[in-house]
Amino acid sequence: MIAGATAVAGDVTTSGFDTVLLGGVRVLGYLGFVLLVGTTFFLTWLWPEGRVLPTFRRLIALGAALTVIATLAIPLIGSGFAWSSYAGRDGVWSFARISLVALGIAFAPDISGTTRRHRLLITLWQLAMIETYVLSSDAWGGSLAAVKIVATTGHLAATAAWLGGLLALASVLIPSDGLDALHEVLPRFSIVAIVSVITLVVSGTLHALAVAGGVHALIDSRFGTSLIVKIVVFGAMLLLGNVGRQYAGQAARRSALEIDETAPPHSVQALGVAIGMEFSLAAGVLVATAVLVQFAPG
Amino acid sequence: MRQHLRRMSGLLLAVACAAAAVAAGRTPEPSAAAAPVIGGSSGPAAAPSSSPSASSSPRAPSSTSRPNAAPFPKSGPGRSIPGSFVVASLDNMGAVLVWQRVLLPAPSTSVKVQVPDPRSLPGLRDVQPMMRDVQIQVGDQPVAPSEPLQIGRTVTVTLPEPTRSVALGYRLTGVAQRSSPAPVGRALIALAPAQVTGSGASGPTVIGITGTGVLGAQCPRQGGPGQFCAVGTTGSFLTRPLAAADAAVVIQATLAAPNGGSG
Repeated sequence: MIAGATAVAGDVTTSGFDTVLLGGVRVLGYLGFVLLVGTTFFLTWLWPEGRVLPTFRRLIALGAALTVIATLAIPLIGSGFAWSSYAGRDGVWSFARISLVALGIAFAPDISGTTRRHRLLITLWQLAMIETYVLSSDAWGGSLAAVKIVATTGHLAATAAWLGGLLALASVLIPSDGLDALHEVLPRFSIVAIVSVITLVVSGTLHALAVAGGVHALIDSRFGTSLIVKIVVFGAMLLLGNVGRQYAGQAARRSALEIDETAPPHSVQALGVAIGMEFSLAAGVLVATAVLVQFAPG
Repeated sequence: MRQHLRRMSGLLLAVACAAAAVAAGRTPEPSAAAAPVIGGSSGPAAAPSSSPSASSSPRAPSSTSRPNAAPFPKSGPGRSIPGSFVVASLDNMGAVLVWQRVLLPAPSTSVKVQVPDPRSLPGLRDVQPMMRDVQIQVGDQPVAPSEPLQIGRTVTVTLPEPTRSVALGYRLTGVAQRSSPAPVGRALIALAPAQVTGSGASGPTVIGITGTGVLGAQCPRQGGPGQFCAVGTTGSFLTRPLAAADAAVVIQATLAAPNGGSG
């Protein structure tokens, strides 16, 4: 092996620990994003009255903390512990994201009591948060940039709305707290979930094709292989969600959308557990995504 | 009072982060060579950053063999922008070990590789160039070309995945021509690195030359003052970015006697 190639080969033996650590932090970052944007979406559009529950404040606080930690840690782990790790486009959007989180923390208590009136403002904030991820990703630049930006924005918004909603529902269903309100919330969430799934499928397909550069290029790559893993987990998640709702509906002898305080406790818990398992699979999707980004065409 | 404090501290933090974002935007991005990046973007569910520095790309050989030389640049063609970065290391026999990193303008699933014939360079018509020990790598995957790479021939190489970053390693032999009359060991060495093209126009090429006997390098195809394209000191020179089609240098060097002349 010639000297130059030795250096080439030697370079790619990057620390396995670093790779695993980076993947783990990425998953935490995804979770933080889902918690922060998803829960605020849930409280803004699906259940504004739920803002009084301390569970949601904890979810948002945890989401903010995970988002900030992951945003700061990922460049450091990936590029070394120096200011230059934050240099360039990634750094700009990382700090912009933390700035938005800080703004949210500063004014959240002031507008949390009037989420209906401030829906537009909160939605703009959520959109800005999403764009900090989109504009630091490979959606920016290259060919079909506009398609990739729109697709990625839709993908992230749908991810946050669906997974954030699942988490919010599970956090209410499992302790069986405030079930009356779910009578109205579940049908709304059901619509959001359906729209989100359709958006995820369409935007994910568009994005993958645009990034890979075509169907053949996508299939014949490790990026495509890891994408298939993500799609399989995603499909299992959909199936489990459907089965869980059917099971809970049968247990209660009523539709899952009609669950309220009069439903037998075991059926409420069954739905809660099904949603919890659905979210566990969602965590699997997030892990698959963390793996996927390692193989995306560079 | 507590609410006021919360608002003020949140606002201050937001302003500080906005200032940091501006500062980050004004700081040049480190290249993969400066700091090997393990993965892609931090974006949830989105694909990774397309920033060249964000790909898991091979690193240039260490510059520790470059006596009294400043390190090669960490950014530029082949590293942070589309183009090629070439490190050529001259051995005592006049062969050149080449490491080359190519950054394509857009992800490609195949590239055309051509190593130009250096015999068109002035004064080097009689060299017998051969390309040996060719290695190609994408990410961490070695790539086997469907047919052998040869001087002057264009070969299409299918890549295992769409990528912007391709690394090559190869040895050029028979590219040295002893000067005469001249001190013993004095030679001219022709170096025309591989031209790698994917989809879109190729970017410029920067060539770094190392080796204890390297005295200087010129780019005759540039013509006029442009021939003086390389800067550096004995043992290490670096060219300015050259158009890919004209990227060729003539190296002047003193080749050391075999076995240090003690034989």
